[in-house]
Parts: sequence; C-alpha cells; structure tokens
Amino acid sequence: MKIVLFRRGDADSEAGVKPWPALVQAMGDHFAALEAEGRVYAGEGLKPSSQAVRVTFKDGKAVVTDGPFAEAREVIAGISLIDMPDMDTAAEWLKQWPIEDAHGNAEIEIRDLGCPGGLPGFGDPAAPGEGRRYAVMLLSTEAAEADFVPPKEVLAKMADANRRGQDAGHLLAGEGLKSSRSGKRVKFTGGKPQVIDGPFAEVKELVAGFWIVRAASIAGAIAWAEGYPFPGKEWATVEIRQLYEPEELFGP
Amino acid sequence: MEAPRIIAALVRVLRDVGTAEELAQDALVAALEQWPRDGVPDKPGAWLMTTARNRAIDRIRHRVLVEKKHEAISHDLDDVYDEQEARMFAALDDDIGDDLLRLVFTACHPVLSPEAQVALTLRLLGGLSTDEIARAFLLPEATIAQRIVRAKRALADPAVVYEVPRGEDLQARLAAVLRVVYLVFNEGYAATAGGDWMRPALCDEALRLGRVLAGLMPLESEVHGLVALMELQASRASARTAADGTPILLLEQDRSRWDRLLIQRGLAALATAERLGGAAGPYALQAALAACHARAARPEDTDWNRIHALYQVLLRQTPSPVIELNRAVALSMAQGPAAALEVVDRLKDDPALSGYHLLPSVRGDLLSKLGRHDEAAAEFHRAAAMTRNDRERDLLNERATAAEKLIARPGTGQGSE
Repeated sequence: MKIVLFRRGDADSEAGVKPWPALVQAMGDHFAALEAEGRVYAGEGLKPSSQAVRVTFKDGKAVVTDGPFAEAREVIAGISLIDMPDMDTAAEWLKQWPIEDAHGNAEIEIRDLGCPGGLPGFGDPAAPGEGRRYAVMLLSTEAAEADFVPPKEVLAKMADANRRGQDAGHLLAGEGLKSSRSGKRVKFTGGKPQVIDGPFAEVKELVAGFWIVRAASIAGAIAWAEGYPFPGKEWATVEIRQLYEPEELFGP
Repeated sequence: MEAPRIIAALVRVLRDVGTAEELAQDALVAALEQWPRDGVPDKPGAWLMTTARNRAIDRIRHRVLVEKKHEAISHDLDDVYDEQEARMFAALDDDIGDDLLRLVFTACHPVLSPEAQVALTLRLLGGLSTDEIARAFLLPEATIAQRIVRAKRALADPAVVYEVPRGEDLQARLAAVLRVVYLVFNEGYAATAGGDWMRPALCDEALRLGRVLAGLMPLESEVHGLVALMELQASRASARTAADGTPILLLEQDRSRWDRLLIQRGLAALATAERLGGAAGPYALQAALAACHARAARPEDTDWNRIHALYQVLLRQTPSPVIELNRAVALSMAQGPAAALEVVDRLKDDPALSGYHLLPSVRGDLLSKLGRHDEAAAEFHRAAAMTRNDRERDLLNERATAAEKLIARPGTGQGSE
C-alpha cells in the first residue's frame, strides 16, 4: 500500500542546511533497495519554514502569515511516497533510517494515504515543467482527525478542481491522508529509534492532505490555494512551502 | 529487469530521460565489469540503484558548476594578466575554482586516451553536445558517443582519484591539459573557410578554455604561454586565406587584417608568462616567435635576429629537423643566405625530411639568392614534384623557370633583355 513519509524538521533543515555528501550517500543507500523494486514514488525536500507562508481561511477571507511558524520538529522537512505492505513493516524499515540524519535525532512520521471522502490521490510531484514547485499542506483539525467525511458537493468540487489543475499543468500531485490513528512515528534519540503509534495529540502539527503545485512564485501558489475548495474551508489553514530542486540539494 | 525502475528513479532527480537512460546504462556496464571481479552483491538491484544514483548526483553537481559558476569565472577573466591580481586570486580560498580545476584535470586524466580527453573536455567544460563535437572533428556521432561512454567508464574505476594533482604530478598532468586545449585549437585553426561553422568555433572554445585555465592557475607560466600562442595565431585568422580559400603565407599576408585586440592580449599574456617563469616553456617560446611577427607592422620590420635566437632555444628543448629548417630561414633573413645554406646542407640527407618539400624549396631559395641558379632550378623542380598542393606546385615551377632563365645569361646573372 502507498504511504506517505514525513521527515520532521530539525535545526539544520530549518536553517537551510543542505544534506552533506555522506548523508546523501546514506539516504541513497537506505532507499536503494526500495527504488530498485519501483516502490518509491516521490521524494521531496521542503525549504525552511522561514521562507514559507500560511494561509488561514476564515469567514470567506484569506489571511497570509509569513513563517517561521513553530518549533523545528513541528515542521515538515521532507515528503516521500513509498509502497509498504503494512505500517509495521514500514516502521521496521524506518528503524534503519540513516543515523547521520539530524545527527541521530531524526523523527519520521508515516501515515496512511486515503482521503476519507474517497477521492483518489494523483500525479507525480517531480513532473517536469516551468517555474518553481510548492507543497500546499492542509493542516489537520479535530474533525479531520476523526476521519470526518466532507459533504458530497465539497468532494465533487475538489475532484473537479483536481482535474482542472492537472489538465492546466500547474497541479502536479495531490493526496488525502487518513487520520493519525493508523499512523506511526519513529523517533531517534542519540541514534536509537523508538516507534510510537498514533493517534498523535498535537493536532496542529498534523497534515490532513497535501497538493504539489507549480507556480512562478509563492504568490502564484497562494492564489491557487485561495481558489481551491478545501474541505472545511470556513476554518482551514494551509501551509505553503517551496520544494527544493535537485540542483539545489545536490549541487555544489 | 531493473533498468526501467532505475531510469524512473533517476528521472525524478535528473528531470531528463536521456541522461537517466545513459546513467542507468553506465551502472549496468559497471556491474558487468565489477561483479565478475568482486562477486554479485546481496542486493543487486540496490547496488545498481546506488551506483546510478551516485552518478546522477555527480552529474547534477557538474551541471550546476559548468552552467552557473563557469560563466561568472570566464567573465571575470578578461584581463587577468596583472601579477598582483594573479597572486590575489591564488590566495583566495576559492573552492569554486577548486571544483572547476578538479573537473579540468578529471577530463584530462591520464587513464583516458588523448581522443577521449579531448571529447570529454569539450563535453564537460565546453558544454558541447555529442553532435557538435562529432561535426567539429569530422567523425560520426556514434564514435564520439562511444568515446565519451568509455571515458566515463574508465573514470568510474574506484582507482581513479578525483583531485587536483600536486607538485611534480601537477606539471605532468597540466601538460596533458594544455595539449588537449591546443589540440582543440589546432583542429579549429586548420579548418579553412567554408564547411561547418563548428570547426572555426573550436578556436574560440579553445581560447575560452585557455583563459579560464589562466584564471584558475594564474601562476603557471605555460598556461599563459599557451593562451598567448593561441591569441597570436588567432589574430591572423582573417588574413590567412584568400577569397578562393587558398592559404596565404605569413610573410605575404595583409597585416591590416590582423586582429589588433588579439595581438595586444597575446602580447600581454606572453609578458605575464615571461614574468612568471621566464617564458622558457614550449608554448611560451612558440608564442614569443609568433609575437615577433605580430610586432612587425611590415614584413621588413621583422626582428629576425630575435626569431633566430628563439629557434635556438626551442631546438635545445625539442630538437627537430623541421624546426632546424625554420631556424635556417630565420638565419638567412638575419645574416644572409650563405650562413643559412650551411645549416640546410647539413639537413639535406636527414631521412626525416625525405618527403618534405619545404627542404628543397628553402634550399632553392638560398641558392638563388647566392646566384647559383642552376642548382636552384634543380631544387625547385625537386620541390615541385614533392608537393601535393597545386598552387604551391605552380609557384615552385615558376621559380624553377625564373632560375633557369637566369642560368641562360652567362656571368653574373644580372640584367635582362
């Protein structure tokens, strides 16, 4: 089954520190077997939250706030999409995560994909095109954590917006997430991993769904978000973070 | 089979299917070479993936280097001929320069054949496509593609170390780099007017590479020497060929068509080479020779004594009958035909020059100046028979005829009817 992997932030990632060669090597090695089996669908790094924005929708109005927003570990620094037979196997695989990452204190969250309303995930975040790429993450709420199913009209609007965005070429991918109840976290402390089962109490740290859009600048991504029919938009917040391009991550 | 999955994973990072395919292929080739030697790994798929991915990351690094930093550096280099500035550059903790230098020395690594070094240099440093390189060297694209593939494979050997060489090693490796650059220049320089535009563009490419190298290694005399040589030679490009494409000898060229800017830069580069190392290396010496001609506004103004002295120095380094012959020509201009004839007579029986038409041609010229017209005519006939160039043959036949006319008049060989 396809699951999403969120690599939580740390001081380095929030400072914009790029992965150093040994870490790049170790990560590559860790993912290599999976990639060789075609079980890695995506792997993206997110730029520091100081460069990001949050858009809060309230009473039909959108308020844009600049980052940084939270403690480093509350921020998501990387998103991967991988295929695993089940969450337990995924957690075991995560225990072998390179200990170089976050200097032995990495935290990785894995969540089941699947929009509670049944809308399918789609696309490829690395699809080529002009301009920059942004992750638009819908922050979770109590309702979302209860696997609340949005009304049919909302789902229909979302399906329609997804299709139109893909056709136009600026919407690269999108995935809905199940609540953190079926999720897990693997937290490394001094290089030693510990598996923690969901649900996770700090709802404001959680993501309910994410989209990957292409835009010339963050203004374009904000405009897209303002026009998108997010479920529960009366009180929704999205976080918009630019994705690293490979040249930025691996280049000198 | 793993290949499509590896390619797909690489495309995600490289955003380019062609390159992804190429690197996946390279990984498979590496496996075919290493696994029989080292044993098949426990997870062959993961091994292939890791190998391919490492190359992909290297490729990205090189891509960024060549595209972004390269432009910045070569723009800054337009006049790095001030030694003060050169020392400052050297002292800078310039890791951009280091990476680029490493790239240069990698492309010219001794494990590669000279042809492979040239192809890889043009590809990695010049950013030329396989097609462009092929057209420049008048070879099939597949040949160049294979050269580059094999070169990459050879470089992928773990025994190959990627770093800028030091000390004695540096001098030897630098010589290879300079040789490659000059090879590229000559390939373009030899291509006369007409034909593919790519060939003359090679001169520009070689010049650019030379200047970048001079900026990266500003204290190396021979690098400046090579740049000087290329600039001085390139300065004559517009005067070298007649409208119909036939080559014009240097002493007969219209000097108003010589590029003054290139001459200025070439002389400045030569001065830098001299300040740094006495300009005693082969490139600097050849540049000094070219400079003698460049400084003369008219052929009559040429400092032949200096040219002769330079040939003597050059001969001590690279003894060669052809260079000795050139020295004789310079000697005849500086001291008269008799002294020069002595030198040429000693070369007469050198087997290395047996098919070289310029030997009898020069000898004929000297004999003619000494009034020995019967011998001169015989030499011109001999030379005409040796040359494959129609225009040259005509010229030599004309000189033979002219000499014979002078034999027919007995005595001093002067006067006419």
